[in-house]
Amino acid sequence: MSSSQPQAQIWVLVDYLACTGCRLCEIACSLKHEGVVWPAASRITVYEFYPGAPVPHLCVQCPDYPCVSACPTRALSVDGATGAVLVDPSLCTLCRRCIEACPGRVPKVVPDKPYVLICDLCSGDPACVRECSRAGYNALRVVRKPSNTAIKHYAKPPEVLAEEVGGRVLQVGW
Amino acid sequence: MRFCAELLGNLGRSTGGEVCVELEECVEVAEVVGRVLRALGIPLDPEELLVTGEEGEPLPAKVTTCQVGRVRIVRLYRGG
Amino acid sequence: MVQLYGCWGRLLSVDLTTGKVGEERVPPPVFRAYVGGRGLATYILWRELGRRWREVDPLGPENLLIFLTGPLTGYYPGIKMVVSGKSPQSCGVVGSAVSSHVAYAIKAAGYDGIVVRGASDRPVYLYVSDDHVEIRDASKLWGLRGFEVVQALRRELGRDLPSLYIGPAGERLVRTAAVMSRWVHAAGYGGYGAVMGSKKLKAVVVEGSGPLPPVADREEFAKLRYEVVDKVASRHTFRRWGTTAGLWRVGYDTSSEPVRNWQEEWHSVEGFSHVVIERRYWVKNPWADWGCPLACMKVSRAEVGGRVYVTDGPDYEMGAYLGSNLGVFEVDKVAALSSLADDLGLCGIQTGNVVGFAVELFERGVLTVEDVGYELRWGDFESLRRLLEDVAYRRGIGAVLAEGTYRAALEIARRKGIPPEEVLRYAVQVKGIGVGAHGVRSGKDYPQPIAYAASVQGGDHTSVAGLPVASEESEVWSAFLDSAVICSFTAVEEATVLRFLKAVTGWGISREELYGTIGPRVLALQRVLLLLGGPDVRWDPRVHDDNPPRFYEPLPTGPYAGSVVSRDEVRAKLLEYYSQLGWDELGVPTAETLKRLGLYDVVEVAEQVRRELGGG
Repeated sequence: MSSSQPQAQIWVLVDYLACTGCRLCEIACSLKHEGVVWPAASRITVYEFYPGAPVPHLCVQCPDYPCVSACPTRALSVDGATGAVLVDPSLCTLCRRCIEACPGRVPKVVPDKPYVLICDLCSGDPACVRECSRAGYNALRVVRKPSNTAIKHYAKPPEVLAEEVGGRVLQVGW
Repeated sequence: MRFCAELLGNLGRSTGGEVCVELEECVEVAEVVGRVLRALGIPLDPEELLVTGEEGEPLPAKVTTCQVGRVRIVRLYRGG
Repeated sequence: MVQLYGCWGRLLSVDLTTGKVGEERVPPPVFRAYVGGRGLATYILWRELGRRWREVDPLGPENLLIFLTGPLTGYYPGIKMVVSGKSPQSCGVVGSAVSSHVAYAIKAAGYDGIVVRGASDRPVYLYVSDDHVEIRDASKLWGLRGFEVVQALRRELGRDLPSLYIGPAGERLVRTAAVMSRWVHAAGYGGYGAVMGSKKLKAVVVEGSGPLPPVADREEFAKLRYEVVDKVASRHTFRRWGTTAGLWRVGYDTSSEPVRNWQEEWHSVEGFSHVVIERRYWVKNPWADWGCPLACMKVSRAEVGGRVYVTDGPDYEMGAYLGSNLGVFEVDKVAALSSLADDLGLCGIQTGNVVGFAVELFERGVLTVEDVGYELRWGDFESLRRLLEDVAYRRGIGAVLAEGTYRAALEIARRKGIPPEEVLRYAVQVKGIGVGAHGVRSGKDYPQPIAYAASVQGGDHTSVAGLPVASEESEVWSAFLDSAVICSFTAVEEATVLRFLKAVTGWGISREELYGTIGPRVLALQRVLLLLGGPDVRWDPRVHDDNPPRFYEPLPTGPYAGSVVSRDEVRAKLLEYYSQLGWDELGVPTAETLKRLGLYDVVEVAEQVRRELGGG
């Protein structure tokens, strides 16, 4: 499925119940992109509002790419091969309009990075997926990009997803 | 061939700390260790043990008794 | 100028009396000599309080409350950090390990740890966000129970941030109180929850937006990280069952599980096992902590008496101490008691230990209904639940039990006009610390006969003494894991861990140096501080370097019935152990040893301790 050659557009399928909340994906992502362990700069973030109900959260490549449309400097674009959102560091002004436009508030701003951070699907071979598979949790899987409506269901802020997953795991409203 | 295991701590209480077996053929070390434990009545899973070379060096996963004649066994998990 | 890798060499220092916040530098040679975590905490405590150690009240403003990571924190798979200070339990130093996101967050914020001094006169919490540090009002948080604190902090801060906090028990300076994290984790050993409460510090919240410190050898680190992840991820049964498997295994298989205040150590209750809990109550398995490829935790959800209880596991120690140790063999009730301990901010081990002690005293008529207010019975969920609450809130007899088993025994003896030994014989503790749920009598579990007798952390089952000193069997290895800081369940063979340390820090620490110098250095310092003790306890090695009296009673049941620890063996092994560490026959580090370890300023104090004990 994964290679560095041009291919079908891909998508990271999240299995909330399989996710253990270990954050190895955040470690792997930051090591891959930044060369150091830097969870805050990871393009995938695991939230855990309820114990045992972790929510891995990342860009889902919305079919209409609202972040790309919102960017006033054309710093954001879409990778034709993978479908990922790409950020041009030389054009980004950290205006944060992409964050406002994103239904999941996914793009990140961290100190010492002069451009916004968004998952680029690692050119087709996501490090987070590899790491999760290596650890044997298999909560992240690369699939062909699903239908538009399927994707839109995932384009939500983490706390909304957490209510659903948390309620399921614990069957209590905390 | 002769294969010996140094057993540290309480693992070695009943044997003076060392156990040796005579083997006809090459067997995976993990397998021999399992048999030795069961023979000694030590109620542990192989996962709970750290099996290393004599000097504490790590061993390849599928190492056999033809490749290494002496190992060191210590309990891995202490507490929980 | 020596470059530090893996650590910042920088601690956040907070004085709650003056409200001042600042930073302290830790020179690279200090890290090299003490590694970090437990080792570094011991060094800081000796340096700052060593001269007045005996007079320092662990629950007074002079004590330090230290939160420390180590050079491997954030790099080595898994997560642990250490909480320390002068222990209200042993009056020595305990490096109390706890899994917490604060560990990586504090490093991402630019510090290796936090040292809290003084005490606030009103409830506060510490909020750290990179360089921005605030001592905030915690009046709305004070009084909240564990699960409530996490919710309240999220509401107040608007997001889910790593935190360490105390429950009602810590607030009331209960000596068996823990410093809690993430609903279910506890730094229990040492009783630092009470220290945190004595400083009116309800919580420490940390967020770090920066990277972790650079490593010395990026490629080697990346390679070793994969090697360790692969090894640890193959521990399949541990991932599936966690330590909960011990409820059956340590009891039925190795006869080393506390049953009814350690009167027995064997059980054959099939329903009291990880298998039953897994089938009936685990709603999330596996569940992991930060950076961990093992994922030994499980979310347990049980309903008892119409109330829902959520906990982790319960893990072996909680399950054994609040379960078999209290005569409770129904797994839903054990899960409920474990959840309650989490919520109250109590160490399940220390509290289960003192509650079991109380139930036995009640059984023997030493404690009565007049003393307690209700009947105490083995396995009676309602009265045990009530007693846990009474301990946390220091109500009735709970106020006495809140002092921990050793001090409670002395107080009960005093009140009843009984000689202390008559009550202490039922106290299963060593140097003020209740013994962890791994007995020594059968010899089939891991603790050797001198495990607790010679440990510088008393009954701490995660830091047992053993022979040979130059092996993972000894307390040196535990002290090293607690200094690095790494989780013992994701540990691998020494050689690989030392290579990992080198890749991160650049330090070429050999096995010889670890077992010959670094480990013995930390242990010697902890030992001297332990023997100094004070203000309310003083340990005499001839009396207190020993197993609890109960461990000299033969096991009454099970396949190893009749087994007991041999006093002669303990005595002989103690002497051998002291000798291997370079301590004299009283277990006091010799001047020669202290000098060899670079602890020149400890020589005089050690001589003083030796003289007081009547030694040469």
